Amino acid sequence: MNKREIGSRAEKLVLDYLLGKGMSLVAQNYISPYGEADIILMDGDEFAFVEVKARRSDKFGKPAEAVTKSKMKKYLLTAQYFFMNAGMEDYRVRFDVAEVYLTSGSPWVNYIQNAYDFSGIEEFY
Amino acid sequence: MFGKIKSSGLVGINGYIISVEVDISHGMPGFEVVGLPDAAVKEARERVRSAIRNSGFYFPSTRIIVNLAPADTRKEGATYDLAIACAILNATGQLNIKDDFSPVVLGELALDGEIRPVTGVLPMLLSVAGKDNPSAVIPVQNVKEALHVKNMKIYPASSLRELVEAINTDSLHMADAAEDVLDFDNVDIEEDFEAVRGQEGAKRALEIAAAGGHNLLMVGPPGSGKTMLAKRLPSILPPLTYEEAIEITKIYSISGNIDPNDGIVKKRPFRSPHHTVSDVALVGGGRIPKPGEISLAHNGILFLDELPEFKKDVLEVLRQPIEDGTILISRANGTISMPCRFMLIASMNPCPCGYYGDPNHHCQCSQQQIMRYLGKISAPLLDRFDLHIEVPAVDFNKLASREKGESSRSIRERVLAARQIQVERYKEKSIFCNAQLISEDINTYCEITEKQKEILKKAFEMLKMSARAYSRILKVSRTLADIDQSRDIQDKHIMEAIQYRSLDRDYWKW
Repeated sequence: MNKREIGSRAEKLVLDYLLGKGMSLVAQNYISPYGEADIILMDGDEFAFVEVKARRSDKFGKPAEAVTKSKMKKYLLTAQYFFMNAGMEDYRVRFDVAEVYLTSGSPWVNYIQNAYDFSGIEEFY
Repeated sequence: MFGKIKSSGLVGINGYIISVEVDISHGMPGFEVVGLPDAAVKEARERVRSAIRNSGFYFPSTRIIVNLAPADTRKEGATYDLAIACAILNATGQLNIKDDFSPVVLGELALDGEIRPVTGVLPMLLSVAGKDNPSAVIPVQNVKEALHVKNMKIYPASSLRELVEAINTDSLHMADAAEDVLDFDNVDIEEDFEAVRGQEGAKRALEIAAAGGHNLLMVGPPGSGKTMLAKRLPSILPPLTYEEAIEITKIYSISGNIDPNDGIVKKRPFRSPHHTVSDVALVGGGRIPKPGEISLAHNGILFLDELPEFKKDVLEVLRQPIEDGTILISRANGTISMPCRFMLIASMNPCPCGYYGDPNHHCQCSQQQIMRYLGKISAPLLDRFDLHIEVPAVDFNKLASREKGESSRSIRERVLAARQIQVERYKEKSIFCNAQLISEDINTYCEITEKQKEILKKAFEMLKMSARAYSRILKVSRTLADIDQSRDIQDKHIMEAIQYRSLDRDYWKW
């Protein structure tokens, strides 16, 4: 299994998990000039931008630790681009991280809602 | 969704109202603080977020903007944590404040929602107390201090959860006004003058200094007891008045030196900075100006041990505050003035080796070394000491004698009597002692006869004195007359006062 296969398998797993929770899919692998958002969903009246991170072992730390400041910044800018294109001004949005553990046994998902936000955004630039 | 809570900030030793406004809106999630916050205020984000969650409240994960108005003054410290948290809870409908209740809220938050004490509570509340601000929410540890503010309801708070529940159920408890009678006279004399053997001349000079609030310079060889004498000076000073204590407490509150059990400074300050002190540490300053040693010595004593060892520029910055009793600190962010009416007590050796002029030792120093050493004390600075005294080495018989000196208690009685006369005399002026007399009033209160003028004229010519020295001699004469309970200044008072100015001639004679 190469990296790309692992990634898409993990995304599929997360999407099934979230759709099962009653969320609806808006877009998958949405591409903006600033980067790519893995999954965009609607949860009630709130948009959720989900970054999926999968790991086969925790040798290199937990999956969520791999979501760096620059990755967060890409998501924030991508979200702004998304809403601008949609012509939306009054919206609710949150940024989630889905950790997928592909260790021995059946794979499982740890879903972190509101993983990060725009606080201290000046530190990003 | 909008919420608003009042808090307070400081400029120098004066407080002003800060309005903490919170707007919670849709859009990109984030938590921003605007209104020129410094690093500690920005970090309030993390403390407030955790404190609200850990207190069992809901923290909105949408766009939160906190504005600290007025937006053009710098905000520093963790004083606003509690106000920000309350404003967020107010905006999200978790805290319901009645229209007629708008307290000034102060306090730092711990991550678990506990409320921590802050500095500067007394000066902030004193400046903002009044008709528009009848109440304040204060951390429990600051309550004793806050209770000295009259016309203000003080509500103690120990945790965010308890505070919010009490406000929502209208069951906030007011702190009881200070029941304990403040006893400023209850100074335990740790270091008593009776332990000092001999040195009657120096003791007399210290008594005069204490009675009139005069500045004093002691010159003498090492081991003659200069420091020991100076340390005993607080034991003969008059007790603080309530007004004086409040003034000192304001300054100490800003620098975070208040004992939470007392809430007020009860003893006259005795500040003894080491001679490596910088000029800013001495007079106060910094980007956001803080009080220096001279302000911390307000209404008390500033003791400079080993005066010539201080850096010259550090000593010279003292000249203007000694005269004015206030220090004006100007920085890019603004100008503030702080009170600094202190008694300056200094001690020094007459030369680098210490034995110049001592009959029992040979001085090892060259004339040039001595000149350089004494030259560090400039004439204008020397002029500002009302009393110059020599503290000679004590001979063995006096040291070994079992006889005790006069106790601090009995010296203090004379000082108190002299001070009482001065307080009566100056009750229409805003001064407390002779040393604070301004030149316009000297002729009114220090009247001398023609004959006494003659004595002064002779001394003036012989000692080549300055105009400042002249007025200082008159003030010291007035104090001597007050110690003798004499209405008029007598010849002997003038002559004794002149004698305390003659050291310049012995040492600074070139």
